[in-house]
Amino acid sequence: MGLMQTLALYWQYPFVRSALAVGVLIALCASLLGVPLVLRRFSFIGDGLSHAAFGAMAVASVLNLAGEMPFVLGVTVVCAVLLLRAGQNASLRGDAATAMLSVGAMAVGYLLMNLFGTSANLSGDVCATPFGATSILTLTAGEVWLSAALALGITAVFALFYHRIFAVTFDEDFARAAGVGAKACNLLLAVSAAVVIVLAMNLVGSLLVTGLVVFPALAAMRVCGSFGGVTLCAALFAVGCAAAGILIAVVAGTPVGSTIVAVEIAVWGLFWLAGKRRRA
Amino acid sequence: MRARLAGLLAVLMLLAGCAREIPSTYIPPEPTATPDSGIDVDLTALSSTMVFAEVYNMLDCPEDYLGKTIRAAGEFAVYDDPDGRLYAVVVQDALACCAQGLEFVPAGEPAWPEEFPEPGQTVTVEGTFAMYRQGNFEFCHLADASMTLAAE
Repeated sequence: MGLMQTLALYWQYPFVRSALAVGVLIALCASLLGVPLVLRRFSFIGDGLSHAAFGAMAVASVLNLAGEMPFVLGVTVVCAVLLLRAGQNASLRGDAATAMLSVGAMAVGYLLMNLFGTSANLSGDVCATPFGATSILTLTAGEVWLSAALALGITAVFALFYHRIFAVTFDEDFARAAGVGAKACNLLLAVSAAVVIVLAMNLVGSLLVTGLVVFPALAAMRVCGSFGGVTLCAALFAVGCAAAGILIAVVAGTPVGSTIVAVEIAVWGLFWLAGKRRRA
Repeated sequence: MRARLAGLLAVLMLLAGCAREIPSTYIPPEPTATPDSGIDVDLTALSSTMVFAEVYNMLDCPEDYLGKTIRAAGEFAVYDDPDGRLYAVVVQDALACCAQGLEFVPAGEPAWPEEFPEPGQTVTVEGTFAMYRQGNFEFCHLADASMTLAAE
């Protein structure tokens, strides 16, 4: 069976179509948030927040909560607000706070699942969350719609507040003095980052979320010179890599999350070469 | 210049040291489910990622698959339950850390263990997807299933 026939066969499965649609939307909003986060040197916040989300998932599963996602979203939003404010006149600087939260949440979460977990396959449940092997392919209909709505919402928020995000990213003090509403914008970025991270965990797993956030922005910065150009380029990069990664994973039988990040690394390499040539 | 050459040489040496034949993870088989084959869902023609996802969806939304003829391949597993012996074919995800099983009821009444494969052997089973109730719970299985050992 040729490649096109295989793709046509797989396209008939509703969960493949849903995975592509939701995966592309999640990658899009992750790339949009990635640009201001990378420029503000918060590249590793994805790691910290995804580990916090893992800890929240562990608590939710131990407590047998019916709806995990709202609880996980709530906890992750709180952590995002605390982390992004930690860089502002705090005794604990941003990277140290991120490291503490990241390691602490993973350790406590895994410990709770071991001590009080009710799953028959603990190691399987724990293993699937960090790497997102098939999570995007096993979403329920409700999760598909919720993820799509949240992703579209984040994209719309970014489009609506584009100029304020731009101002706060490059010169927060000036933005504050100019009455741009820097504090509110920071809060908005924190909440959006938390939502994106929780969504992205379904696509690439908690350990690889940073790749989804960082690689599109870094690749775009190699070839584009303006904030708008970087944002647009990052979005196209993320959408293309996510679609390619999902299709390669379902055809080749590889883990979805790792495949998407591997494709991003490869394409980032091409952008790096293009940027080198551009500067020469 | 010398540093760049040294770096390039180091990378080439590393790649040469790592070079080996990379086994393919998936070779698409010839389609076995044809309009005349009587198979509605052929899991043997899908990649491991697709198989895991499809089995997950079958167990999550069984009503969409009731009455359909399913062909699946995986490791043969046996479970001794207080209510009897259960047979299953187990599939793993791409990371091989998560596994799911599809229970099946063999057609006829094969004698255990003479007419069964060894646990752990790869088998292909074909059966009709059905649900049954045990106590307060509903379970899924492949009823009236034929089983064949996978080719070596």
